Amino acid sequence: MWLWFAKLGSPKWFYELSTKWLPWLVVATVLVIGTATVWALLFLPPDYQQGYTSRILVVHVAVAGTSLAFFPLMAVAGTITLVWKMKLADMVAKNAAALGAWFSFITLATGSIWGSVSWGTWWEWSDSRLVSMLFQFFLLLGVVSLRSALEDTDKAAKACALLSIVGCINVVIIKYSVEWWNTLHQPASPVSLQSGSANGPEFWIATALMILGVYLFLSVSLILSTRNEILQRERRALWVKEMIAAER
Amino acid sequence: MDLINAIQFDSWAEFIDMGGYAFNVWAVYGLFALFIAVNILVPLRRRSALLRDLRRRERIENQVTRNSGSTPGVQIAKAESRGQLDETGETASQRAVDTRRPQQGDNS
Repeated sequence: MWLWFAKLGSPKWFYELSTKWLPWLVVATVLVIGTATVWALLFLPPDYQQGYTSRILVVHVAVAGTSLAFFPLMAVAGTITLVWKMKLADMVAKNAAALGAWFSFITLATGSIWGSVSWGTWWEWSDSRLVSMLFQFFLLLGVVSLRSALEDTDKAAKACALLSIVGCINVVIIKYSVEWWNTLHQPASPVSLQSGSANGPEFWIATALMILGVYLFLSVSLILSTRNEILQRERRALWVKEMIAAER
Repeated sequence: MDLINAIQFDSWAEFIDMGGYAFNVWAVYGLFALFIAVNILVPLRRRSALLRDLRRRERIENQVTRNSGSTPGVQIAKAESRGQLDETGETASQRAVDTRRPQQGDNS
């Protein structure tokens, strides 16, 4: 068990394993996102209230839901960094922060574009869901800039780990904001078996597929940037030099 | 053919129009595509820049080895992993690499 754990933390092990798995992950991502997109754009019936704007929700819900995974992911990686000082965990956490900021931004933008029709407004400062998601966006930008502000890699890793663990509180607030405060943003619709509404079977199957696709995309992007981080930080390691030498 | 019948639109124009919400629907899907493309292409570009740099380092280190007969790149790393480092964290031949770099005239 501990051998396995130590191996998992080895950048070399991760690099070699991801070289093998990445092509399959990319194929799966393209297939799942492709299917979900074609399904959403061609086959989804219009919602009886929202018309075709309900198609926006397939993307919005998938990206928004996935964006909540970043702080827990960074908190777990941060804990591993703090307790076991595993290099790989910090490399993942570093790249997750920037990607998470992207996810939060896309959540806000797609939500705004949908809201401009359905709510008649692009933004509402008094809505707890909107504001707490905006806060997550700024928090993630904060983690990114904290990292670049601290030159000492170890200190930066520790500071970011702590901020990531504290930041998880906001994820809980985002999640339950629609139930605790009753404002503009609606709670998640219960899954319904009735066709032709935005929580009907066509919709939630398309949305579930899109959520899977977005998670796959998240892992592809995070693996790509973590591999870069490994090449950067381990550039003097023997295995990296041997790999470069073996190319010719 | 059931699949064709399940398509919600009869013409391209209708598809583009999205029931009057063309701007909103296409803006979201366009943004989504851009978001995916950026977060795949940026790491890929960084990877090729990193690999280019690593290959250049390797080439220069090998060149230094041939010219001066000092330790080749891989052996520098071996020395490092054995802990045979000076206080700057670099071996003497690596410093030689760094000072030689401007004169090497690498155009690739």
